[in-house]
Amino acid sequence: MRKSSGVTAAGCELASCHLCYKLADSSQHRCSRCGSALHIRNQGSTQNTLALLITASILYVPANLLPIMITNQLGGTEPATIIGGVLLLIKLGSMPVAAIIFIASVIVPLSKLFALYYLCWYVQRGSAVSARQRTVLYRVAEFVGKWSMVDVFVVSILVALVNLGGLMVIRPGPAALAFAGVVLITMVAAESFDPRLIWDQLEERDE
Amino acid sequence: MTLPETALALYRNDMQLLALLVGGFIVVLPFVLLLLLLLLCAPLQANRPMPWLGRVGWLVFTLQRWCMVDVFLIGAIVSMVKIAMLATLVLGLSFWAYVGFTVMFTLSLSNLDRLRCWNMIERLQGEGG
Repeated sequence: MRKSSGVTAAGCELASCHLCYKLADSSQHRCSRCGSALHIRNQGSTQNTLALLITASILYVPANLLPIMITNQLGGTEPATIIGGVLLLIKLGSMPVAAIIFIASVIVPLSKLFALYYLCWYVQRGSAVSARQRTVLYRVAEFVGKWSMVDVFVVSILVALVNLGGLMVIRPGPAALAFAGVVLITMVAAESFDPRLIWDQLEERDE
Repeated sequence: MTLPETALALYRNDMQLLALLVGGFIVVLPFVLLLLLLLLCAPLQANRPMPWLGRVGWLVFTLQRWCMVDVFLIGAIVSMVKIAMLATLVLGLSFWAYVGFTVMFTLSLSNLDRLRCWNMIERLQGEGG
């Protein structure tokens, strides 16, 4: 079951530029066309990705436990966490909006973290079962990344919009920053992961 | 409320870092990217070699994935639904302008063929130098 033609760029000592896709001799350090750094495989890709993932996982704890938004209403103060906001939306009867927020700020970041952990583990362990599925997993994790920022943007819009003097003021909570950190760090993690490592497993199995 | 005010409001609430991030992602970055796209595509379309093509191309394809105008639009709609429960909301003209901008901008970014762009840049620069 040989899927590859047997000739790969890496096998010919050629490195593909990650930015403009030009093939160049791997002894060069910069792409001759666009000037990006050139490697056959990103160096320490799995290690960097893992380190970023662990950082994001640690940040994920305060992002969920601390309030993301604090509402001051007629003297009373009401802090709300991410989950609290979703529950409130369900109680107020707007299911579609609750679903958007739940998917964007709970399901997406969590599944992204787990997908990248899994890919790192898989690349290190080395087995070539269904590389195609893993590629799809990586593509999805990369595409979905920025959409988790929705909740941070919602908070910032509400903070700017709702300021009715003493009646009602919305302030951003510390979780907003932590959550933005989680999203951005997982985006960098997805970028630093080298998907070519997934496909290398196919070559190794063939040999 | 205007677009830059979202970032300013965060700044006033002692969230300088978050204000910087939000302002960067929704005000500065789309503007810069739009200018860079013009600088990249106009010479390519006109077949005119320009000295900055390589560097601008590198910037466009690096910044591309950090552009969050589409995400912000969804965020704006969600917060409108939230606000609509508390107060009446009148949409400003700028909202529709932003919707148009987001749709067009997202379309133009997804229309950009990376390989074709770079092949053209290489050809033009070969002619120029």
